[in-house]
Parts: sequence; structure tokens; C-alpha cells
Amino acid sequence: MRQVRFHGLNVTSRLLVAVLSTCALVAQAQETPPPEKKDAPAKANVPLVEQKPFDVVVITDKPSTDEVLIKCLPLEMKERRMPTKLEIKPGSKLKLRRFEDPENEYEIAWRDIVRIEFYEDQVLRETYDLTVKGMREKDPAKAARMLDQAYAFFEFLRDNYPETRNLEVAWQFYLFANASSLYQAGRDYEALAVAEELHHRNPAYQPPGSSTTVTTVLSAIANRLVKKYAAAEDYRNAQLIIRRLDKEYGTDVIPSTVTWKKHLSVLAAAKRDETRRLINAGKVREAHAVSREMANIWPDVEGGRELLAEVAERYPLVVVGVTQPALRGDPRSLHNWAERRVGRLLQRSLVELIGRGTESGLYASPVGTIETTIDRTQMIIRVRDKNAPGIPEVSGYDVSQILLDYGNPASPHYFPPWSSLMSTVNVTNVMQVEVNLRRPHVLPEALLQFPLVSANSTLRGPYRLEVKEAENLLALNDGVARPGERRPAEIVERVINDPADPRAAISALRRGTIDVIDRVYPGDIKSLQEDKSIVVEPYAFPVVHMLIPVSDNKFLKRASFRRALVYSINRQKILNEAILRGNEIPGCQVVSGPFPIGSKRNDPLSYAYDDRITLRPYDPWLGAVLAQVALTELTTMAEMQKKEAPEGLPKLVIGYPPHETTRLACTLLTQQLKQVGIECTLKQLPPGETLDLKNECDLLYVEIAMWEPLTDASRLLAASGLVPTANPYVDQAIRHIDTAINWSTASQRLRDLHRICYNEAAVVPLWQIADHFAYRRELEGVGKSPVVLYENIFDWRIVNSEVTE
Amino acid sequence: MNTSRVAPLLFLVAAIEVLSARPCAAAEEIWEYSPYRIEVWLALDDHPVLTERLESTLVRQIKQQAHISVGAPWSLAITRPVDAIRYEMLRDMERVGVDDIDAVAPEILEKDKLFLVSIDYSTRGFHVAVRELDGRTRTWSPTFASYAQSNVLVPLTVFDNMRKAFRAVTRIESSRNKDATVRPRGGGLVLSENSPAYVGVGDTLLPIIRRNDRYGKPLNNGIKTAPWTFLQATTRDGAVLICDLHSGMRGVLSGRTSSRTQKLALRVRPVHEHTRLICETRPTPDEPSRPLPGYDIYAKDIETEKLELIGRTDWRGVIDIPQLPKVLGLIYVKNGAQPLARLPMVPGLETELTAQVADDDIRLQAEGYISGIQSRMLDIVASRALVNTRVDDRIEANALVGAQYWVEQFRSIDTRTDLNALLSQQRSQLINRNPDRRTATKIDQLYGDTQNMIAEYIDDQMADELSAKVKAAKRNPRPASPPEPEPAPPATPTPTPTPTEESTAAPAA
Repeated sequence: MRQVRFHGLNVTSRLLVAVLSTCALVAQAQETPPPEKKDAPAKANVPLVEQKPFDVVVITDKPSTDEVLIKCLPLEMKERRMPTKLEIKPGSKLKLRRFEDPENEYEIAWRDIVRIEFYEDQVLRETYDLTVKGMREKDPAKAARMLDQAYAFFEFLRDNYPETRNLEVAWQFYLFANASSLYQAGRDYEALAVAEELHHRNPAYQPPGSSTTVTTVLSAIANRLVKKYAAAEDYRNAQLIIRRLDKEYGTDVIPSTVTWKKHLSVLAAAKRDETRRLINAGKVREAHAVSREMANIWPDVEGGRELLAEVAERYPLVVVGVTQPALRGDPRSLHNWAERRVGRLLQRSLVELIGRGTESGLYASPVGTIETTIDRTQMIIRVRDKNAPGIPEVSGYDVSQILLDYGNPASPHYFPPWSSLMSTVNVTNVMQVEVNLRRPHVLPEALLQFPLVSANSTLRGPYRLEVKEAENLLALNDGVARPGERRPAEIVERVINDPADPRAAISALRRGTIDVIDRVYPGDIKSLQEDKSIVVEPYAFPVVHMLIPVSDNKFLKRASFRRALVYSINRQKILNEAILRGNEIPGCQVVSGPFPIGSKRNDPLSYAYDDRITLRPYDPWLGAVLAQVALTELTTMAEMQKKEAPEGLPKLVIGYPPHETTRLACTLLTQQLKQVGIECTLKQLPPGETLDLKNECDLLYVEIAMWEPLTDASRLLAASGLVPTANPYVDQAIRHIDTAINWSTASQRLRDLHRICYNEAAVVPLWQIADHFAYRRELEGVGKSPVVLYENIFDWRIVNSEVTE
Repeated sequence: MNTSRVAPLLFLVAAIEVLSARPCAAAEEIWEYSPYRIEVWLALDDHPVLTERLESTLVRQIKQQAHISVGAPWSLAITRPVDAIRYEMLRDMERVGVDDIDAVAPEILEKDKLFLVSIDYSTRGFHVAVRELDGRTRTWSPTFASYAQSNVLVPLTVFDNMRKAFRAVTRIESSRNKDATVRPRGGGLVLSENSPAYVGVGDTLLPIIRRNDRYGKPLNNGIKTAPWTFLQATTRDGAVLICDLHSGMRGVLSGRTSSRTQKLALRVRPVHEHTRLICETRPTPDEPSRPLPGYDIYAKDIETEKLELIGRTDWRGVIDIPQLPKVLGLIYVKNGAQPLARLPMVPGLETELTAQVADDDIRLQAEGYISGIQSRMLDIVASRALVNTRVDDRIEANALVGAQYWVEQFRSIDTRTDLNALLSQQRSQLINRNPDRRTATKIDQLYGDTQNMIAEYIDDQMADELSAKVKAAKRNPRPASPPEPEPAPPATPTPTPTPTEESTAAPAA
């Protein structure tokens, strides 16, 4: 605002009128605004941050001393603060534009200005008030809302007015208030995070008028957290908190950590003493278990670590959580995961699959080397004269006997694919055998995965299996261990398979009561990978899941009915939602046939998979139609043969091995089949079994290790294989594979077989799963992507038991 | 006419008539009413236990036993063989051949039967082995061997094995396509069905044809067993038996019977647990025989005509066929749905037999391809019918957007052109394998029939017709139509339940 003065009268009247007129106009525009007693700075109930910014200039209404508030647009000042008296020049004025009249500019003498309430200061004050209210609010939900809102205001100020006075102070107060509020609400982890942030900003923070410091708050929160974990005997997490706080803030700075360390030490000391007693009593295995409990509680107890090392030294033991017990060992089992797992521990084979090659699997012999001539019509097997402990000693003669035995039609071990290939076997010297083949074969060594036997008996592997009720034991055989080596003397396989607690294995792994999970449920892989104390690794080869017909049910012999089953199961949905729980795991996908599709594009493992074959979509209407077609076919045939016709669609029994993946999948697909009129009942197989030995099932859910389709296809699909389809087209296709002389031909023929299986629905293909295992970081030597869990068992070592984050 | 000259002529004529007529009737009488002339060569090993006294006891007791058990049909003469034969008999009965016997005692081959009996002694007891040679057909029976624990039991053991080895002989009197008439040797002397010489209803006979020279000796390779041919006696007509003829070949027993051609049939029984059947391709000038793995082998009961799968040939083309309940059965060799051979067989009679059949591999592969196409066609026809119904329903409900959606879905289903292209591609792959003319014809027929089926059931115009229907419905909308629903998603009868905690609980078995 400006005050206009007239200067003299010696001007013409017109000019005067003009000047006067002009002045009057100017006066109209620029006169001092009418005093407003109370120019309310904010509209009621609308937060300041949501309003258009404004400042408030407070002046005195002379001649009284009443304050007048003038709401104006934000002042254009170099520094947004009230200047000091010394800074104000006499007679200087503050220019402003009123909030309601932004077009006109006014002037106010600085001497008349009492104070200026800048916008950001108002916001800060409002925020502060809100924080205080939130802190005092009893209702946790309301308190949270208020504090959340206050947080938003702080964010606003930081983004737009970072230089606001006392912003940091207010913010610290906010953190304090928030931490307290969260603690009151029982949200301890969040409270801890907030309190820690406050501590970082101001380790000595103490809110005005309070004796409580940020350290006190931290201690209270930590105390409650640790108490909760200790009550649940989750000492690992309790340790994590204590150690982290010590590391972050200094040992014994947080009072509650001191208290808890003492308490845990007392508990751990009891375990330590019990461990010592057991060792002295010669019960080393029990001592092992108790020492784990000690390590789980507090390994830093006096003498604890030394005791752990002593126990590990005397009796290295590993506990593996498994979904299925192994009743026997078979490294070549096509369908039994548990048997494959322990197979290589119990017996070694002449040739073993050790990993992935560039075109197929990679094979090696534990007892020597195998060479194939360029034309692939001869193999030369050279046996070592001395093998590592745990690997049987064999001679060339032993090897020749094995080869001849498996090629002999009169032998109980008769293996037709090898018999048809082998022409002659010559022992050229004690350690060398030459095998002549009838025709070239692309991968003859894959056929030689026979158990190693000597002239006297089957040679044992490094471990022996003791089947017990609650858990199996794999104990190292005598003479295998070398002094000083720390490979596991015992492997305890503990079955953890409780439908009521599907994550029990993960809990046990985190608690340290087991060291390894043999098979992680696919839906848990992602979350487990986030735990830095645990290593999650994929196996080298995926497993293909499918339903196979195993009974003489007439409907299952009709291709139309089998196709009906495929159309009626929503495989994609079951896999994505139930098994993977919405996660994407490479290598887990629906398949159209019995062969693996691999984990990535151009995966060599997929040489048998014809990716031009499109998946049969989920189409329950079509499934229902095809089921009726099958019924009509059977009715017609019965009439022609004058036999009794089926009354309707069959009731099927689906058998499955009992673990989470199969249980869930079978439950869901049963529901889906019911929708098209195919009633199914589920039959859980006995633990450790994967075949329907009692012939009670019509369909069997199997998990097939089709790791080398070239040789495994016949094991699954031939007339003598797992799937008794007796299909001449499948049989013919398998015979064609056996006679392929190069990889291109073999791959093409396998894809032909895939197509035939697809057309005939020889099996009901479900999905491929890339299984993973998990282990605690304290365990070393497990290896990356092994074929089976115990592939590198001689390298396994427990290094230390410290809980790390 | 001078009667003195006529009478001798008449007498001569009459005499000639009598003399020429007598051999037929006489021959029948000999065949039917004379016993089997059986020579038994008994060879005892050089062992103190096998004394001359034991030998003479054996001879006596074997004859006694024959007299008691068999009676008139057998006329036995028991002698020692010459040393060379004796040695072979004791070493390995099966090394003694017809030529060996012909060389030392050709007259023996004129007899009905020759039994080779060898006896040696070991810690297990008296080992008795017996083998029979039929004189007319010059064929050997299998060797029957067993142990007798004491010398008292030796004669019985010998005789028991002789009974087992003995193959009754019949003469084929006549034969037509499907039946034949046979006359058993010594049939008039057989009094009991238990006699080894008895041939009755239900017995299986193996036909053998013998061609002689003018001296009555068999021609070189003149004795042949009719391959894959058996007779089964069904009814008795006096002294003869009417038999059904089962043969895998045509015209095996046809042809005139002359004085130089004898058609005989031996009664046979299975003696081994199984017969190994080897299936292989017929050799050609360019290619030798190859085994035929994966061929299905069925056995059919001749009476009930019930067909039973025995198994599948292995990689060597081999399958072991066990004895059948009714001795004779029809063995079918099939490849997929195609029967390739029908072979009458007595499993267990021979240790091993070879069947040469056509290589049917390419045809089976074609059949497999066609089966796949047909399955696909069924799915396509069903899918099209379902979608067609959905389109009609939506037109009826005036939900034309939904109808249009389903028309688009219809277009995404495989068409006739797609199937024909696949058919053509697969056919080319097969033709590139150069099948023989017969197989190529079969393949063409298979593919032709399938193409016709495709043309009949899959109409490529249907999509356009559906589209036209929808357009017509749009032009003439139904009055007072309800609000148009959203295009329907792929139909599911009810939503698939999303897994919840409850649904993961273990279901009741």
C-alpha cells in the first residue's frame, strides 16, 4: 500500500482535474486496506498443506495495540524470516499482496509490523500439534492415522521448504512420538526401526519435558521383541536382535540386551553342561543334539564354541529335513525322489550321471574312465587300481561280468536296451575291458548305470541305511572315513511333512534343528531366498509331474477319455496359484508331454521336447464331451461283444505320494474333474512309497526324473516300463530311438515320441518343477546345482554355529 | 473159340484181378490190424552196477510191461546197438542221426519205430534216456530222460519214457481245404484209450509228406513236415478219424496221393514248457532277414475263438509262447491293429520256431500318424460344435458382442486346411522311406480315407456362416432385448476354487 501526497497547485484546471482524477483512481487502487481484526490464517479443518500457501503479517491497529492479521501471498523475501530491528531501515516498507486481492500491491511500514507468520512455520506448527495429538491418542488406529498425516506434512515441508526453522527438531520429536505410538500398538519391529532412525539422528535425544531418552525406548522395544522370541524358543531370532543392536550401538549400550545376554547364557550353560555329561557318558549322538540346542540359544556361552567344535570333530552329523523317508536306495529310480537321494550313498554305479553336458547329461565312472571310439561302435573301460574310500575296488573282470549279466536274457537283471546294443565284451587286461557294439549309439555310457558288483557280492557304498520310525539314519561304513576328515559320520533324515504346518521345515531350518531341507516347497523358494542366513540352490535337473494310468479300467484305455482328463484340469492355475503361490520360478511350467522342457531357451535338456506342440488348454466343456464320447465308445463295444455296458462315467482312485505339492495338486485337480462328472477319490500312498503296490489305484501321480530322455523314455513308456500302455505306436517310436545313430536323429525321434504321447494322451502331463534345496550357511561343501542332494557328501563340513543375519 | 486156350486166359485174368485187389485190402489190414514193429536199442553204460544180468532183466521186464500196458499194438524187439551208435547214445542221445542208423542198420528204418534207450549210472541214480525215431517219417521225438533211484525201478522208468516218446502214426486218407480223414496205425488192435497207440477225438496230429523213389526209398529231401499245419481229430467214423485241418499255408496237403507219395500224420503232444518263436522279415535279394521287435503275439482258442494276448516280441524278435490249455492254438502275429500272420501251433512241441512275415513298420507308423490326426479331428469337431452352440445361444439372447467373440474363437480352431497340411507332411515323411508297393498302397488308402473323413466332418465355411448369422442378427435385432452382457470368457462350469488353508488340508482317502 502506498500513501499519496499532493505536491503544489500551479497547474491548469484540466490538468489538475486530470491529475486529481488520476490520483483518485490510484488512491482507489492503492489505499491502505481496511483493517481486519482477525484475518484467519487457515480455513477450518483443511490442512494447510492442502491450501494455497499464504503468509500472515501481524500489525498493530493504531492507535490501539490490537493485532491485526493480514493474510497475504507468500512474501518475496531473501530470507524467509522477520528481520531484526537493526536490519530494518527507517521508513522502509514491506510490500505485499493480499490473499483475497492479489492484483494490488500494498505497502506496510516495517515499524508497524509485529511479526510475520510464514507459511512453512504455520505448517510446522500444525504438524507439531498433530504429532502431539497422535502421541496422546489412546486409540491406536486414530493415533496411527494422525501420525501418518503428520508424516505427510513433514514430507511436504522437506520437499518444499527444507530450510524451515526447527524442522529437524520437530522431526525428531515426531520420530519419538511415532516410535512410542507403535510400541504402544504392539508393532515392535516398526517401532524399532523408527527408534533406530531417531537414534542415528540424535543418539542423546530426549523430548522436552520428558526423562525418557531414545536409548530407553530402544531398550524397551528390544526387550519385548527378544522376550517374545525367547518365549517361543526362537532363540535364533532373539540372538539376531541382540547381536545386531550390539553391533550397531556398541556392546552393552542397550540395557535390555545386557539383561537378555545374561539370561540366554544361563540357559545355554545348562545345555553346555548337559552336552558335556553326554560326551562323558559316550552318548555322542545325543550330545550332538543338545549342543545344537546350546548353539541355538547362545553359542557364546563360556566354553560353548569350543564344545561345539569338539562335538563336530568327534561326530560330524548333519540333519536333513525330508518330505519322504527313503525305504531303500536306488540312484536310478525314475519315480522315487527319496530312493534317488540316498541311492548314491548306499551303492555306487559303474557309470553315474554327474551333471549337465552340452547336448545331454554328463557321465563319469567312479571306478575309472570310459572312452567311446569316434564311430561309437566300441567302448573302452579302464578301471583304476586304487579308488578313494567309499568307492568299491573292482577289476576288469568284475566290470565284464556286470556288462554280461545285464545283457543276458536269462538273468534277473536283464536290461533289453543294453542287451540289444552289446555285441561282445573282452577283458583285454586286468584293468581294461573292451565292449563292441552291434551298432553306433549316441550315448552308450548312459546305459551303463548298473550297480557295481564284485565277483562275491554287491559292493556297498560309503553309507548304510538304518530305517527307523521317526527318522532314518545314514551311517558311514567302516573304513570309509579318513582320520581328520570332517565329512558327516551320520546323516539324520527327519521326515517333516505335516499338512497342518506346511512351513514346519522352514521353521526348523531357521531354528537350527535341521541343517538342510531336501526339497523346498516351490511356493516358498522366493521368500526363503531372502533369508541371508540360508542358501537356496536349484538341483541340476527338473522333475516332470504327471498322472499315469495304472489299472485295467476300460475308460483309461480310451484315448478320448485320457484327453478328457487333460482338458478338464486347469494345470496352469494349479501350478501358478497353488504350487508357486504367484511366484515365477525358472523351470517351473506346464508341459505337454512326458519330457522335460528345460529351464531356459535352448536348454540342451529339452532335446526330446517338441515345443511346436501347443498345450491343450483348460476347456472343461470339451473335457465333458470327450468323456461322454469315451462312454459311448465303450457302450458300443459292449453291445457288439454282448457284454455289460458301463452305466456311466467311472469313479477313479488317484494315488499320490504324501507331501505338500502332490497333496495340494491332487486335491485341486480332483475338484476340477468332478465338475465334468468324473468322480475321483484320493489315496495317499504309504510314506516312502511312490508306486501303487496294492493295485488299488486307477491313476497315479508320479514325479518322473526324466533326466536323459534318450534312455529314460523306454523306462517310462515301453511295454516293460512304468506306464503299461501297451500302445504299439509308442513302442515303435521307442524302438526307433534305440537305433538312432546321431543326436539329430535321436532328437527328432524323441520328438516324434512326444507327439505320439500327446496324440494318444499316453500320460496326463501336468508340469515340470525345478526343485530346490536349502541349507544353513554353516554347512559348507554342498555344491552348486548337484544332481542329487548328497552328490558332494565327502565335502560337507559344518564350519561354525554363529547366527548371522 | 478153343476153350482149352480160353480157360487158362480167364484164370490168368481172374488171378490178376485177385492179386491186384488183394494189396489194397491187404495193405489196409496190415496198416490197421498189424502191430507196430518196434526195434529197441538198449545201451547200458560201462559201470559195475549195470550188469548183464540187469540187462537181461530189463529186456524181459520191458517186454512184459509192453505186453501188459500196450498189448497187441506193439511188437518189440530189444537188442544192443552197434558200438559206434552205443557210444553216441551214451554220450549224447541227440547226436545220433538217421544217417548214422542208415549206415549201420538200414533195415531198421523199414520198421515202424526205433527206440534208443540209454542207461548210465551216477550218484543221482540210474539215468534213463529214451528217444524215438519214426521209421516212415524219419523224424525224431524229443529225448525223454529221468532218474530211477533203484535198479528195480529202471524197467518201469524205461517203459514210462518209451510211452512218452512214442508218437502214434496215422495215414492221411484224404484231405480237402479244411478237413482230412486219417486212419491210425494199428487202430484195430488198440483196446484202450490209455494205450500209447491210441489216436482219438481231440488229438493233435502233425502232417508229414513222404515222397519215395521207385524203390520205395525216400527221395533226397523227400520227407517234409507241412509247415504251420496241424490236424485235429474231431469225430470218429469207424476206423477212421475226421480231422479239422489248420494251416498257415495254402494247399499244403493238396495234391494226389500216389504210391510214391505218402501223407502221414504223427500224434503230437507238447513236451517243453514253451516254444521260442522268432519273428523276422522275409529275406530279399537285397536284404537278409531282420528281427521284428515289438510285434504283438496272440493265441486264439480254436473252439471258443477267444483271443488272448501272449506278449510282444523283444528286440531280437523273440517271444516264448507257453503251452496252451488245449494243446493246439492259432497264433496271430499283429503289428498294431494289422494281423500279419495266422499260425497254427502246438507251443511246447518244438523248442524254437521261426516265422517270417512282412516288415510292417512303415504301415504301423502311418497308422500311428492317422490315429493322431483322428484324435485331433475329434477334438476339433467337438470344439466347433461347442462354440457353435455358444454362438447360437448368444444370438438367441441378443448378446451379439458375445456372439461375435465366439465367432472369433471359432476361427482360432484348426481348420480342414490345417489338418490336410499336417496329413500331407506326414505322408511325405513316410513315402521318403521307400515303402514297397503293397505298403505304399495301404498307406495311400489310410490317408485317403482320413482325408475323406476330414472333408466330411470339418467344413471350412462354417466360420463364415456363423459370422453371417451374427451380422444378420445385428441387422435385425430382436425387440425388447435385454442389456448386452460382456463377452463371455472361456466357459467354466463353476469357478475353480482358489486354494485356501482349508483346501490344503489332507482329503479323506
